[in-house]
Amino acid sequence: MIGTKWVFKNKIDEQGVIVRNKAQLVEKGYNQEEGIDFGETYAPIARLKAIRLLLAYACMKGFRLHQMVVKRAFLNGYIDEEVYVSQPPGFEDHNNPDYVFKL
Amino acid sequence: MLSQGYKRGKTYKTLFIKNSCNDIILVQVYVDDIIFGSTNESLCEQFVAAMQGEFEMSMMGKLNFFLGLQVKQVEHGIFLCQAKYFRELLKKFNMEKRKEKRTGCYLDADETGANVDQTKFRQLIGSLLYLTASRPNIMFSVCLCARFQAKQKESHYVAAKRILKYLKGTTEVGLWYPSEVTLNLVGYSDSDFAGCKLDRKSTSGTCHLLGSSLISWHSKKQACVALSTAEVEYIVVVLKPSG
Repeated sequence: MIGTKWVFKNKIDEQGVIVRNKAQLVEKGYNQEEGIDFGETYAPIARLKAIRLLLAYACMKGFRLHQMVVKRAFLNGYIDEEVYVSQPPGFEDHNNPDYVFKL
Repeated sequence: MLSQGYKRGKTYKTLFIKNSCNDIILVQVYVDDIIFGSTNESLCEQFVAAMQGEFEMSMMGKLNFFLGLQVKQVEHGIFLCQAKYFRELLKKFNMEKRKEKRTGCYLDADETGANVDQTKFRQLIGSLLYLTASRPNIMFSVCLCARFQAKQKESHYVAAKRILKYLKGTTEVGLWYPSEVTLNLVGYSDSDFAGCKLDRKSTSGTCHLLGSSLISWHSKKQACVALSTAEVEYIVVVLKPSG
């Protein structure tokens, strides 16, 4: 089970006037422990070295390279396991204070 | 992707390869950016169709700008530079109107010097480190400046800005990958001897060429003090760059 907390931010415009109050509910991910809460972490970051190597190789073989972008990559992620979060502070259910949310 | 017959790279997990007959398709993924190329155009089209079925895709086309790297694909090769990124960098540090300068870099601890803003210095170093992606020639100087990030003084900041000034005179310089048939991997290494005046450690550098394209390089101060020039060279070969 992962705890949650609120993060509040004031958005300001160029003149420094507050235009919007922003609230964001975040997970306290720092409480997670490897092996218990998560297994392998992995981010698809390519090294620049690898990209250069690809470019050089493409040149030698004489083929053109193309590129494309995935729209909203974040929303395309799937959760394979069950993840539970605690009730957001300030919005607890007083009748059932022990309940948690399933994502 | 693995289900469609692609194999994942062993060293770089973001590279996907698929062979079919004599053709090959290579796919490199960077979070949501994808570069791909194939010896057979129809393989490319297959890949695009498969990806569009799975995700919402946008911005298709020839590779020309990727992670701040400008990639120019022409008839007989590929040219790689970061001129655009560098111009933005100049703007950020208000250096657009400064004169170009020649190279030259010597630094010591400078304990009596005036302090400078830590954040700004580190920003500059970080930006310069990113620039080394297409500029192997500034690798040594940037790394030298980077060593003073804990106790940065005025003289270090001036030296870092001098790198910017040098780069300003050579903005359009980049890497050129010519198209040729040889596929030889050649590696070079060299080292100075007790080049660092502070702790007498030696700095070594290596570079790797595929055919005549420079693909990998590094410059690093060695972790231990070498006692002879032979030892210095030996350390370089043993401690080959990671990745």
